[in-house]
Amino acid sequence: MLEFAILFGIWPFVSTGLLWWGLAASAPLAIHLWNRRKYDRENWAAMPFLLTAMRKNSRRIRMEQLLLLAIRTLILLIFVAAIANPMISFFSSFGTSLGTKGHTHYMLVLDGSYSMNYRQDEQSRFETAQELALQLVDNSQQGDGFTLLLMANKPHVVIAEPAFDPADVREEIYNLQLHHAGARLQPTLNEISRLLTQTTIHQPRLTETKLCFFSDLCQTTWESTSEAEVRHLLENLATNAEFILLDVGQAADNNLAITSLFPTESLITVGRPISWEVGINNVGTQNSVNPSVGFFVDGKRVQAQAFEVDAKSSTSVRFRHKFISAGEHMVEARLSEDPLNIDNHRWFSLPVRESVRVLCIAGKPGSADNVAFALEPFEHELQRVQCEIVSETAIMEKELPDYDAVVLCNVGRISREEATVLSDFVHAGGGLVVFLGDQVQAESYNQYLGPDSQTPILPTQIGDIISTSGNDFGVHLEAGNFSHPLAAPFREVPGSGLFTIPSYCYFKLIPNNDVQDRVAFSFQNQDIAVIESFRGRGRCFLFATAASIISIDNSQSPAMPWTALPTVKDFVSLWQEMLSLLLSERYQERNVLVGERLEGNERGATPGTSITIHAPDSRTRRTHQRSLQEVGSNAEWSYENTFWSGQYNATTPDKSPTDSGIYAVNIDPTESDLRRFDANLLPHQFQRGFQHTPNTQSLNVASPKPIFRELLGCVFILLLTESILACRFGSRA
Amino acid sequence: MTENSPKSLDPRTLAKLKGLQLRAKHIVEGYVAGLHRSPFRGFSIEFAEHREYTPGDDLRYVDWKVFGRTDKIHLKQYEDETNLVCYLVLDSSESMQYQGPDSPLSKFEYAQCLAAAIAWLVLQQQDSVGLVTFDQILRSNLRPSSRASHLQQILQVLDSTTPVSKTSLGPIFHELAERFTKRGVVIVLSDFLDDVDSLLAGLKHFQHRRHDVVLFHIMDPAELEFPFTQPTLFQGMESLPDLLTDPKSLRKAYLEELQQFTSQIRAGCRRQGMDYRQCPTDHAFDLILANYLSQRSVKVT
Repeated sequence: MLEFAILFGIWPFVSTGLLWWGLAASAPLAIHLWNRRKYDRENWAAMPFLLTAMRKNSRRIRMEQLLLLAIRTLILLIFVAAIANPMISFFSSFGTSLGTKGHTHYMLVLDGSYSMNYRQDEQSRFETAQELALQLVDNSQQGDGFTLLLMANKPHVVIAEPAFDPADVREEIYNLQLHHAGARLQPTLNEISRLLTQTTIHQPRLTETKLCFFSDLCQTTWESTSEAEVRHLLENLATNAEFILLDVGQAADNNLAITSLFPTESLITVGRPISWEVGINNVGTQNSVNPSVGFFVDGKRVQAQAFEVDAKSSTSVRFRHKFISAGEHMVEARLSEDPLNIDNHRWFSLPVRESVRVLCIAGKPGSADNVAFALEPFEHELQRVQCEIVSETAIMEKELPDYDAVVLCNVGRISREEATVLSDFVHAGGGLVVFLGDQVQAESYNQYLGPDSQTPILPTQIGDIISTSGNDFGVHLEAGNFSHPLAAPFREVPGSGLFTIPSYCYFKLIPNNDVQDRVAFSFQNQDIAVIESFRGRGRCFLFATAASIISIDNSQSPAMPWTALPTVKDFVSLWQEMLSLLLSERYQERNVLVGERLEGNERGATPGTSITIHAPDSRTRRTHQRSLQEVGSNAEWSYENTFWSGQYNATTPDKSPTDSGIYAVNIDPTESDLRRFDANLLPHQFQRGFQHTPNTQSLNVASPKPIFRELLGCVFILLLTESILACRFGSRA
Repeated sequence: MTENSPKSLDPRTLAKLKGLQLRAKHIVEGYVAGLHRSPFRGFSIEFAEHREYTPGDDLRYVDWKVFGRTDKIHLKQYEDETNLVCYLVLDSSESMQYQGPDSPLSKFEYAQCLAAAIAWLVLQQQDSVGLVTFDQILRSNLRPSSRASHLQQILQVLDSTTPVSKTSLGPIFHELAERFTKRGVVIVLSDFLDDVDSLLAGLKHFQHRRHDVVLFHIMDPAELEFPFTQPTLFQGMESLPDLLTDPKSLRKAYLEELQQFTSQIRAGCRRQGMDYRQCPTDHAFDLILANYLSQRSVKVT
């Protein structure tokens, strides 16, 4: 009976078979024609009057007869239409696709990727999608159920179980906020599948399901439809649900995006100018006219630069800035506004210190001297690195969190307590560098810091001492393919002393096959020389050999130093790179992407104390409470709802807002690419219900409710009209 | 008037009676029972009253004494009429043959009865009555006579007349006005389905001849009410074309045309001082006669 629905335009009918009765509409015409054949005869004397009356009124009489005939035909047609129980379609262009006999479960899936924030004519795509969804709800039938989902990298279920109160659904749609991230189809489809299964079980009266997607059809989101797994999911869903895709996107030819913002070095201290690099990408199809980028520090504009960037190309702009005070700082790069404003900002949070503090623990006097020199080889008015050399007993005496890095140099034994303190320090984001040496008792390291210990800080077991006795040239370092960031800077200096100076003795490091552990350097015999591990928010470097030449290998004759490595010039370079890496972790934990978790620890705070998170939001600043959890000897917190880019502040009740931890949450710039997915390449499940609706006016919306009552009302009115007219016309046409 | 006279004079009852004489007798007897005084006044010796002079009046009856006293010309009228002449002018055109679906008599039959009754009444008062039937031409012409046997002749002519042809009222009336040399009462019984101007011109000719003109407009109730509801093929009489139409849709317009027609005739008669009486064929004869004659009595007194 689909033909009838097509025949009658946009209305689907519940009882289309009854439409055959529409043929009865020809009855008035037949009766009219029959009456013209059947008539009485009358000899008439007063014929002149009749002829005159006829001559004067023939046209009127014909019009009246036609009008009555039309009304009578219309009465029958509308009556037949009424008893066929027509449903005004939802979106008329879908024709009969939305005709329904029972109650329908509408799953509203709004694309939450930030490309939906693209504005045209004062309305963003997301706002258009919201309006369309609201219209859809308004025009639903009583008894229809709604679930609501925001398609994002991790789909956000707003209404999990079908809601039947349109007012509630409207409120939820209205309160929806765009996430500053991309959207992934596959997790969304998985979530839809899960929700549909639940709905089928708990709401059997919802006999039909319609999946209504509202999206701008961006390439980054929809290109995954070609993946086999997505296709498979779509096939499965299509067996029980109908797909409707409302394309709210439009061609976008103008968009600049900041893709990166970072300092060119990690050692950022007060009074030292630091270069900042801002990466800018013109993802539009037009060259941008006189664009400029502003450089903001703590919300104040300090510099701005004009730049040029062609369409479909990128550039970088450099700023140089000197922080004049220590503390938490927020740097922001900001482009002038364009239709997609979300990607015009990028933030970088960093704690700036007077100087970097490094605690060197010397197991034997002089064993940390080379390290201290390498850390701050030059005399400066403003000391960049403050290195403190202490004995091994200071591990328990010092407040390690006050330091940025701790270096163990030939420390003989590690106690359980010391291991705990070091572990807490690393997990909280501190950097630990462990140099071994002739005093080191490997068993205690393995027992308390080894991979199998309760505080597994070290990436490897420390094995036996390897002595190169008999080999006068010892072994020297190799960097493999220089893939490790610590080795990478030395790629261009193959003749560096690092790779020529020999080491004569070292501990065999036995790897644990942890994928996070990365070998930075190895000896030429492929034994591990330097290995890196990540623990918590900190990282640890383990050197197989010593940090000074005073570690002596007495097994050789004559006795030889374990290594001459600390004496080479590039040992300084190595330490500078290593320190940057150690400190960069501290920046990285303050700078995350949307959707990533914020983490922090509060020294001395009582576990259970609430942490207040102030998140940026386009409408309001949201406050979230998080409780400190006791992790080891630290009190830590984490926050996962980083849905929006911008500055997040974490404060404890005992701190003023100015002392709050500042976090920068940035977008993943891949979503800035506004290229549209070719609708013709959409899977067939989406093709049928596809409608391009760049604005709400273009959507032809009709009421989805049954209209037989209205039609019967029309029939009644027409009957009344017909009676009055027939009485007035005095005709039985 | 007897108690049952209205019933006996109802056209439906009368239609059951065969023969015009019997019908006329019925009508007259029913009416005469209540009649005390003739409404038709003539000119005789017994003075009855004065009447103001109108042009054309016979100067022999001017009361000069009154003129001498008042400077106004009045005529003397006399109680009994001895020389009243009544001309019955009966339309026998085809349209008079029409008889509606609910009518007991055709228009012509009704006019026959009415004419016969009037003739009977006039002759009973020893006055003279004549009869003319016509359509396009004069079909018969009985000169006025006051003999009792004259009634039989009148009834015979009435009986033998059959309406078949078209009518032409104006010329006929002109011709009759020339023929009616003796002043009298001209009673026209017709449906007057002809050109109104021509008709009124002809009637005016009677007036000019100083006749007292009385029009009995014979109409069938169906013509007055147009009660048809089914699609009907109206077949024109007097050579007019047929018309197939839905009567209900045309009823209002038809009645308006008819109303306009009768209004014109009424207005014409009023202007010329002629009596006009519409006679639907379902109305009782005695009511028609009583109503008319009583009004006439008022007029002549």
